[in-house]
Amino acid sequence: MTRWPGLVTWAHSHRWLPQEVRRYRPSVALADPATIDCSPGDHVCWVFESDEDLQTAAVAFLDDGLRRGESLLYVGDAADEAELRSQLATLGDVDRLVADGTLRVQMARALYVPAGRSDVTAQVEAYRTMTDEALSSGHTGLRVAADATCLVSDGDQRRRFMAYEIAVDRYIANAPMTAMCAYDHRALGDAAADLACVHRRWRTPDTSCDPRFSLYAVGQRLIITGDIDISNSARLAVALDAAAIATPGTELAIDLTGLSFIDLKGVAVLAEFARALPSDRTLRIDDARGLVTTVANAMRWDDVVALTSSGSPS
Amino acid sequence: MTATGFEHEALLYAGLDDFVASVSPFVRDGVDAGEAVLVVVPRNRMVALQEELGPVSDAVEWADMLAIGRNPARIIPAWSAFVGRQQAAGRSFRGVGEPAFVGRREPEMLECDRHEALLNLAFGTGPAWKLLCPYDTGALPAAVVEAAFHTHPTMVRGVERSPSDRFPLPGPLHHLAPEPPDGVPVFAFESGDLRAVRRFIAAQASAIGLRPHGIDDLVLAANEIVTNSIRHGGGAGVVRLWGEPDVVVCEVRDPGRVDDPLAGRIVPLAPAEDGRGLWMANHLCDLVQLWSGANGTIVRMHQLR
Repeated sequence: MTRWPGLVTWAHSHRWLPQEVRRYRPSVALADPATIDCSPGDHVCWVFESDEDLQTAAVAFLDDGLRRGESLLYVGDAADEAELRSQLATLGDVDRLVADGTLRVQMARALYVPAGRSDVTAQVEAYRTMTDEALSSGHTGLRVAADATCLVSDGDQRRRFMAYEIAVDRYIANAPMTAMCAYDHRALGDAAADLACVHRRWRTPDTSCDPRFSLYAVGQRLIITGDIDISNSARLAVALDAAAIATPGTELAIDLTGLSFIDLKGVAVLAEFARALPSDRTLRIDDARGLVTTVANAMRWDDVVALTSSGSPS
Repeated sequence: MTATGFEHEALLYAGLDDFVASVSPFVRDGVDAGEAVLVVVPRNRMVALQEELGPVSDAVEWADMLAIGRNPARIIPAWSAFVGRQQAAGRSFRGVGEPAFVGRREPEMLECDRHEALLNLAFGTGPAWKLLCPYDTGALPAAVVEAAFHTHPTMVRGVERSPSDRFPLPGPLHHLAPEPPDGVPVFAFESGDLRAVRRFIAAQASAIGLRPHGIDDLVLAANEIVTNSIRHGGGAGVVRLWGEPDVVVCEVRDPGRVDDPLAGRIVPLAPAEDGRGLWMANHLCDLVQLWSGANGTIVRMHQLR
């Protein structure tokens, strides 16, 4: 049951770029590895439950890139790069792909995890360079499958990595790059949902780590889709903090046009986030469907109502 | 004469002319004494009273009871705001409120009775002021007029004032919940994914014939009551919906207990505070009924179709 009015309403308040229209779709679960269908601009999350699950998904994802003429990067956790290559055995002649420059493997520990706003784009710059190299070597783009589980074992690391995910999402959206981030459910448990929620699409092995909402970047805008209620409003607070780190500029713009539902606690989380921002930053909430405004009016939170704009759908 | 404490008085009148003749002196006395006066009555009563008062009515604050108090649980917050403003200004004040106006459905009348009783609790220990509550004995059901004797210490007829011999009503404030109809679908919920319970409520409300905007508000309100059940009411409960003349009713039951009779009627100050679900339901729904005791809690939300 879809109750949100979609692009027609939103178009009144924002001039859409073609690539944004493509990006602006409700969060959907990814299907079976055999049918993973990601194209440049996609940044998806795969929460895996076994080594075989990871390898099947990564190979299917990278194989799709091979057919598209893309340069491939596989990032994972292993004893050495030879072991990483062996994880991709079913992709074909891995040694030949490495030798001719089509495939690179990299240890996850070599990824740069940002400490804060000042260096949140460092890894993004590395991907930008690799994408440029892929194009200049005759490939159609860059495709990255990365298992970064070993970098996010505690809550503080996860929060920093979520900021990185949002920053890289902003780059990928408008670049000839495709990425699948994989996280190990066995190691992370339900905390895997914290990482899944900063991707536009995800696959989780069971509903307990289904984030139920998605926060991602379109240009300078942050888009939140899905449902927010008692089950995930605490996660929304964490994702918003990560988004604040990942977003340059003084004004944060959050677009809730694709949000299906937000409860009182969820609106309270938005309000607390706005109040905790440093004095040189402001928050604006595009609330075309009036979800936040309805709650804030009922609760008489005038300061929250003041943050919202309804987008004047006429 | 200086008022002592909260003077909660029921005015028994018959018909519009009697209303105007009985209420206008109360309002005029307040204005003459330099008091702030707020009159919250149905619009037709308001217009007739303004005509009688003439220029004096400009010194009076007016509000339509249908706008303020469609759901009677929204009336105490309105009085609280008025009282707060006058106290801040250091000004004496009085009010006229007619919650039990002719034309309300029976469950609304029961909630008006509850509202009248809760006024004594909400303002009984506060500043001194007079609140006059008119009851139309010519048009209201006898039980509604009788109930006023239980909730007001003073009864007024014309210029005659006398103490009520039936105040206060001993025992609990509220009547028993009528049984829900047989055969309506029941949805059991527990912590976790609330999307399914929201889908159930929206689908049932739509099937019963609630307008789309009413469905959105009902889903939002019921989600908060369900969330309360999960957080404070034992972690689980059941939801069911049914149609009654003019309304869709959504009921949430859980094994928990709500102890504060004023829950949902005190303005929530900060987003971090608890106990805001009932407030939100009161402001999103046309009527909210609550029964709570040793056997658990029942919340019924009514939306006009």
